[in-house]
Amino acid sequence: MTDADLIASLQRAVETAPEDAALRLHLAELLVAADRAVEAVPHVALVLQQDPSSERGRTLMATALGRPARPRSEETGVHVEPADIDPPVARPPAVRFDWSAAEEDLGELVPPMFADGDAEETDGSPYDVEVSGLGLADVGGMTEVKKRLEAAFLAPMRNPELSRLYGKSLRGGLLLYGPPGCGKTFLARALAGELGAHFLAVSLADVLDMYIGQSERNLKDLFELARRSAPCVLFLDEVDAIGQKRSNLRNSSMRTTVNQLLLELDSVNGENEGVFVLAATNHPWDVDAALRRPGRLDRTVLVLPPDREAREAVFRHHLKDRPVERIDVRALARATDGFSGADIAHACETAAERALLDSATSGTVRMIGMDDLTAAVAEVKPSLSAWFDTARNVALFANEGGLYDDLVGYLRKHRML
Amino acid sequence: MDDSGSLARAEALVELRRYAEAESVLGHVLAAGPDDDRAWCVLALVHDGLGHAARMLEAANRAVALAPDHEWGHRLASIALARLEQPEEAVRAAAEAVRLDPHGWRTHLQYSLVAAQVSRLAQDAYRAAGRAAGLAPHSSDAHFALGFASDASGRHEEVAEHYREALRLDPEHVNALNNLTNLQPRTRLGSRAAGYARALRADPSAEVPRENLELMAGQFLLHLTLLAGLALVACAVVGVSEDLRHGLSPGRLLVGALLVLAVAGYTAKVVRAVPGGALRYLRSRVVRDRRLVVTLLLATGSLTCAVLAALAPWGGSLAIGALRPLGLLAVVVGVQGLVRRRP
Repeated sequence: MTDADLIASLQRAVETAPEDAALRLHLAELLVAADRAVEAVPHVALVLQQDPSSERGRTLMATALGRPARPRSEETGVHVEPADIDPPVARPPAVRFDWSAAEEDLGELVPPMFADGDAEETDGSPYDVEVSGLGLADVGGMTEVKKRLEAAFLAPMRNPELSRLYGKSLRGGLLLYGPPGCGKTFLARALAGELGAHFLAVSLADVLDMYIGQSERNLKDLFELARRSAPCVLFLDEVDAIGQKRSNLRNSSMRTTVNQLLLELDSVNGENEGVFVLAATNHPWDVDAALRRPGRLDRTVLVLPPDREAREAVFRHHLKDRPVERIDVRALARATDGFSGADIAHACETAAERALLDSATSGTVRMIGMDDLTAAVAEVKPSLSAWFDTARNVALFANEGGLYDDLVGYLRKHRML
Repeated sequence: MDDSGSLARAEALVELRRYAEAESVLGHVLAAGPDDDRAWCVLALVHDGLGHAARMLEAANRAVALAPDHEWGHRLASIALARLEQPEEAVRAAAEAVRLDPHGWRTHLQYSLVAAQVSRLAQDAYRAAGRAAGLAPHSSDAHFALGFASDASGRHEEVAEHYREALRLDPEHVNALNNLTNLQPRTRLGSRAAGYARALRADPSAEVPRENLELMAGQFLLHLTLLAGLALVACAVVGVSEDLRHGLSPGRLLVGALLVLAVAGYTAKVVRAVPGGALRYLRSRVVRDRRLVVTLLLATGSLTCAVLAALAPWGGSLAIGALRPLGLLAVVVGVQGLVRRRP
């Protein structure tokens, strides 16, 4: 019988006899030994609830939480003072490796990497092309967005023959827009994974350069790299910065950067196969209109704050590596309508801080409980109201040609319009 | 990246309206070289973008203290002082900028904009705007300033022409769109509301056209109140000579019919001219803005009274006895509103 089988049998046994502390501890020991410490923690916590003095339980909990067990104070019978939790250990002073000295020592023994001796210039691109291991199935909830992505982007890309039959163009990119912290970048990575393509993320920092002409060159290099890495999803993050409305720009070098972006987008369509351009922005109204013309970023998908199902998934994701007990994720998801993914992450962080502080103060390690998360959710205010204020104005006054009909629909549904 | 590179980066970030990032970059630049007047000027721009006029003035003053012979610091100080509603000081700072750089169109532009707000300097403002437009005929801002100064200096016949030129150069120039709309006759409420909505389409977050749009809603309601007041007065006049035993008189019936027709026709005309988004916005504002709520109640009350006075059998005596003072009040309030609330 393998360890996994044994663990499964013991889990069934524990379910049958939940009061059997010895059985539960045995299961927990096996889980810890199998590198499944997170699963062991709730079992040990239950044992410690029944018998807080269980030395075996305390030791196991400490091991499961990743630090050595400490002895109890014999005199008082209570836990040792928090100050003693991690007694300082005298360590020898750290000695840094002296790279300069090593280079000098080895300088004559090791030949230069390249004949011209200039490793930096011939070293590959400074930009990272990743392989995305994600897929749309990894994105919790957001069913509507996934459907739109499938229809607008994935289905035509996966079925080029069918697309040709129906006269559906394969040209053009996709613009994801919506409030900040709601998963646009994550979705882009997932799309790259779905397409089995490389992923090259480009932000303003990768492009903007102080020297005249260098920003355009950076853009050109990035597009070249994407073409060399095809199939590749080129993701333009915060495209409102790289492709700002030219009427807003007084600086001619910034205007030429936008022109270069237009040029590259056109040549991607004209000359290259396998480069898919995705862009994301919180401010689509600041994106130059030329970028949204057919053949460029001509399809738009609104990425809204996570729905209930997605919020549950976000909570699970942020709590999965933390010691938690009896968390009602559904209730939390219900209580966080209007929160962004980033707000939920912040709430989980706040709850962990609360439990940590409590443990440090009391000297007793405890799990993150529902109370911590409820308090954290009450404490964290949704960060999206400013975005929706602007979006509302745009929906009211600048929805020319139904450009923001999705947004208008959402605002009406939520009585914000 | 060296300090000049960082500063150039901060300027580019300001241009992209990424003020928080620019402020962070400038923090490093100023920590390394606190005597860099250009960095203080860029910081002033950052504070302006973030809506912190007092901090903008502080940064501009630092730049002026470090380089009193450079016009930029003075010009930024002038902008900050104008935002802080200190027009005389703003004019002084702009005049100093002009003295230091008499060939720069931006200095003349700034002087023109602030001087136009001081009535005794209106002619100077016009001349300065003319110089700015002469030095930079391609600048929509310069032509806007010329329109603004023309208005201030009493050259009303040429105002629209300058604003139109500004819009030709930049069709999304929000201030030109707004001010050009202000020039339309005050009775053309629908057309004016549509003009402000166009300005808001160019910049949905612009405050001035939004306030003007709200004023249009208030004025529309006051116009309805005025109509109701006039109807009440007419009913009262007719009621004096009425024989109450005969119920409804043809005179009051005629007043009532005219009132209903006038209200329906006027409302339809205005509503047709206003874009849907602006209408939705105004509907939401009418129930949230206290001033608009009061105006709406006044209009509704007056109209109800006027209809009752015109169409109820006892309406004539009602109009004479109780509604005559209310009608007069509505007329007074309506006229006052029209006089005072012109944008």
